[in-house]
Amino acid sequence: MSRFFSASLRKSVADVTRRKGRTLLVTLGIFIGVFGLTVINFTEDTLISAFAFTRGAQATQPDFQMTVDRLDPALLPTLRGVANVKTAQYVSLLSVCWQTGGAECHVGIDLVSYPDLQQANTFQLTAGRYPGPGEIVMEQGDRSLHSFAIGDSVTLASGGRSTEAKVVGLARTSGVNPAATGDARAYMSDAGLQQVDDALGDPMEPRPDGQQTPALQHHIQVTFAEAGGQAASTAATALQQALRTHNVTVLDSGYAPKAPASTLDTIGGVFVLLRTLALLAVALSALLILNTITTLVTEQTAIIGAMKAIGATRGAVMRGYLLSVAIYSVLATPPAIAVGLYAGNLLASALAPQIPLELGPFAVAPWVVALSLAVGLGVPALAALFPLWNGTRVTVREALSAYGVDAGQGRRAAPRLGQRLTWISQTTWLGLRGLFRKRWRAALSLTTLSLAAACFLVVQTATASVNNTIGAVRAPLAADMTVNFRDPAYFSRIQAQLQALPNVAGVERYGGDNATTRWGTLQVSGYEPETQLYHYQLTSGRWMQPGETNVVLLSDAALAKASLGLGDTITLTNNYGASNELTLTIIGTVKQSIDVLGWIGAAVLPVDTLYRLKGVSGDNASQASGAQIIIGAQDRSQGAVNQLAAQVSAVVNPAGASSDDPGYYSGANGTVDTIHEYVTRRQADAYLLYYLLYALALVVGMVGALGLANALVTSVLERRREIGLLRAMGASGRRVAQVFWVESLSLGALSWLAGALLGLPLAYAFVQTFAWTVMPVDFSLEPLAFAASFAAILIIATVASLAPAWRASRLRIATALRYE
Amino acid sequence: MIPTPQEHALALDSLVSPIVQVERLTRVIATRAQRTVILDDLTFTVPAQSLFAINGPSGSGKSTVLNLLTGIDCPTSGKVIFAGKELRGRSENALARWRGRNVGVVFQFFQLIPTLTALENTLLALELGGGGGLSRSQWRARALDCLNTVGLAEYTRRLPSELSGGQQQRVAIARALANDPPVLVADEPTGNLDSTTAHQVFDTLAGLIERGKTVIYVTHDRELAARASARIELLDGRIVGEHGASAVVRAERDGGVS
Repeated sequence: MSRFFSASLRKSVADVTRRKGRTLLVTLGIFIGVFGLTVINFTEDTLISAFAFTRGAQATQPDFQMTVDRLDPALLPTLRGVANVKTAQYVSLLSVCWQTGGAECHVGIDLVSYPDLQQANTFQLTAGRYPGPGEIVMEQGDRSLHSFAIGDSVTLASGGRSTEAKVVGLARTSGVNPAATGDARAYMSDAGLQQVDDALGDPMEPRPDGQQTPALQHHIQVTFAEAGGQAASTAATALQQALRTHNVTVLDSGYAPKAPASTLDTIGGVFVLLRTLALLAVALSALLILNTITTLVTEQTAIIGAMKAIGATRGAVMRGYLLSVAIYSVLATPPAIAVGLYAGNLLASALAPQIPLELGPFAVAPWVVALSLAVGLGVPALAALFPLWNGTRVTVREALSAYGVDAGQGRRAAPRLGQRLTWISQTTWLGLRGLFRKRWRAALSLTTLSLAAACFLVVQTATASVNNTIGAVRAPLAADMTVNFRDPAYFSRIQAQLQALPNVAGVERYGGDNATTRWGTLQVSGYEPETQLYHYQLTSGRWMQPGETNVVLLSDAALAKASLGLGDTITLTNNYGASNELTLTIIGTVKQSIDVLGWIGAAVLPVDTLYRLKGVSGDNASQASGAQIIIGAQDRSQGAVNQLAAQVSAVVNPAGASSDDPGYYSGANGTVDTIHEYVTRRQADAYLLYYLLYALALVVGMVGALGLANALVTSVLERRREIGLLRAMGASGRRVAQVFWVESLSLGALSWLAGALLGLPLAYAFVQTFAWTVMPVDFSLEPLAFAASFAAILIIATVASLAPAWRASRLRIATALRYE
Repeated sequence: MIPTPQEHALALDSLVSPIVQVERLTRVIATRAQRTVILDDLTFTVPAQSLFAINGPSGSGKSTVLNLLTGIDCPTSGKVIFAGKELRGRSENALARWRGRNVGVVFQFFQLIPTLTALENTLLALELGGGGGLSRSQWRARALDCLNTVGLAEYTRRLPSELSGGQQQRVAIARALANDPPVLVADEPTGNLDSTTAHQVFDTLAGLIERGKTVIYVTHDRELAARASARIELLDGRIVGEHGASAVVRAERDGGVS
């Protein structure tokens, strides 16, 4: 090495490079802790940023839209001046083909223009610039359909004609997801859009009534100051009147359906819990450092003594080892941050659609990196201080005359017990007695492993609770399938046919949706008051009477969350259009779980009331109609139910239906979905959560295993003369290895016991916290979880003992017995 | 053995200016099981610039005496006065710093840092021991000089694992010389070496006297002990013989003079 580096620095570096196995273990431990923290923080920051963007964009979503034959710029101030109109803007839309290759058109593209793109505030320009004539800004999600870059040209086609536009920018629009819809979206200036329309020969498209209409559509989008009720209707009427007065023909109008309000409640609670587990992983990484430095110091006791003999102070010795720790940190932290950011991006991309959110361009918040750096560099140094302080306390005499056999300080009880338990082999007894040679180190190993065992139990219990809760959502249903009709009136035409099918026990109208309240979102179901297919379990109050309309039953969790009681009223709001808000009286509570993350509970309504909430009006809400129905089977075996589902689908969709799974059919008139199929899908939706929890449990388990391995290595070092004696007396390598394997298993068994005692209340607290912050779940403990965690701990203990036991078995007698 | 005139002159000189004075030194180790007297009331001096041997059979307390002289161990009672200053009452760190500047220690099993080369091991002593009064830029030359003194000028880049036992011990001697201490102490410096190598190493140590050093060494080998210009003989923690050490022999305390 260069003469510019001091001998002390070179020793610190050599301590790292010489023991590659240990360096790998330690850097892995630090890597795991920093990686987990980075993933969680980056993902949450990314989703919160996307949420902020979405919230901002949702504020500008139109409440009302009119399709007109032309846009008159001079009219805009008049329209904006109508009472209750908050904003009004013009927008033009042309749907054509984006020719990505070949003769056939596979990708549709919506070209959108505004008179002033910069004022449009419905999309965000993320790269490049706003377009002029002949230019286009593509939605960044369009790249999932076909790759392109700024500067490329895209070919737009319709009716055998084509034209090109140059890509000058990228945009991001809330609620637009080309990957999911398969349709691209792009923005152009008014002049540019008109240019495309002219180049394609003013394409036409068919209307529902069979007439041809220009494909280039002009819309006026309006937001109201007061979006619901009479004020909105009055304003809408006034707007249309104003347009007609100025000879603008209103071709169509309607209230624009708002996208469901995204809520971070869905995952906010999950992140609280995941961050807790990530911090636990960091804490365990610190324990690992503590263990490793203890091992390192023990291994170098003689060297420490020699250094002190030639003039090193305690501080000088500590500084050398702290430098080694710093090297471990520097090796581990930057890769952990880099991989953590990558994995965080993947996780955010996987979670975003479930909320739903549109993610922006990849961006790293400085605080995420700074925190991970601080943890990666700071925590190991802090964790190393105690073992260094303790280990460098050794005097020169003690360091150079360590015999490895702790004479005269044994526990008196142990020898007495050993004399009675002579049926235990001495090598086994040696392993057991090795457990508490160093109390504090044993306590450290026990703590680390117990936490790992407890964590495993917590994760298993949480996943079982969530899985069982989701599985129980449809438990009160005596029905075996649901049918959703595209036209509610269709049900009345085929009701008799359905009831005549063999194996049908009952057919009832039903409704399922969600509704928002002041306290959160409820999963809403609607049933006939005299239902035979919903076996409600009342926990208080009463069931609905025939003819009752403005009543509701809540789940116990929802009632508790809203702090309401029987007889109180609650206002439910549906997400579609205006006037879909109902105030209902709470008449009872039912035992009803939900299967959606982030919602607060369930509500059960009379089915007609639910249809009113959904905005199904007039004849479609009559007794003869049904947007959804439930069907119960006489033979409820899965095979018989699947067969019935096929028959029901044949009745509902006589022209045929597609089916990807045995219990699910989708056709032109409706979908048929068995309860079993539905529950399986919902449980599968939660797998991402399970994977996250188990991944963190695995991390914690690995750190526990590494800590135990370190403790055993230290034990081997300290007992090398004991090992030499055993070998000199005839013990095989295998018998020597057995000593440490027994020590490891014993530690593991004790840890499991402590972990089970600790894990049970922790699991309960975790599930209760999950239920309060993420989704109501019922605590569900499976006895197999204990057995599984015991098996896991034994495996960890065995794996952790492999290297130290092998090392002990290979120790040469001469080396082991040598001493000053 | 009859001292040569030279040795006698040295002995007379030491009576005037000993570098180490030990007065009524006792070391007792008490455990739960028993109380063991390792050293029992030793009194002797080490003449300056002498080759001083501490001789005796295994278990006589030789290494303990050495440890007490260097501050590695603390006496139960008695005094160690090193170059006119008493060692008692200093903290571990203070003793470490004092050792770095005043004592070069050579161990039986060398105790080199295995991950550092011969040169780096010697440089480490300079870093830890204050540099021997030299500026940092002079340390490398000093270390090379020390290695040259022990005949290892061509082995400066070798790791301890690449050196023979004798070479490792000579590196340890070079390390001990690095800060130019007045005294070197060696605990069985040849105990781990074959006879030929042992003599070579001992000759290296003995040659340091001519550089003005005082070398104190522990040995159970009577032949090596006989080469000393002054010595004490220990048995069961007591001085039972001495030469040129102004030692209080146990027989004297019991009434006789040996």
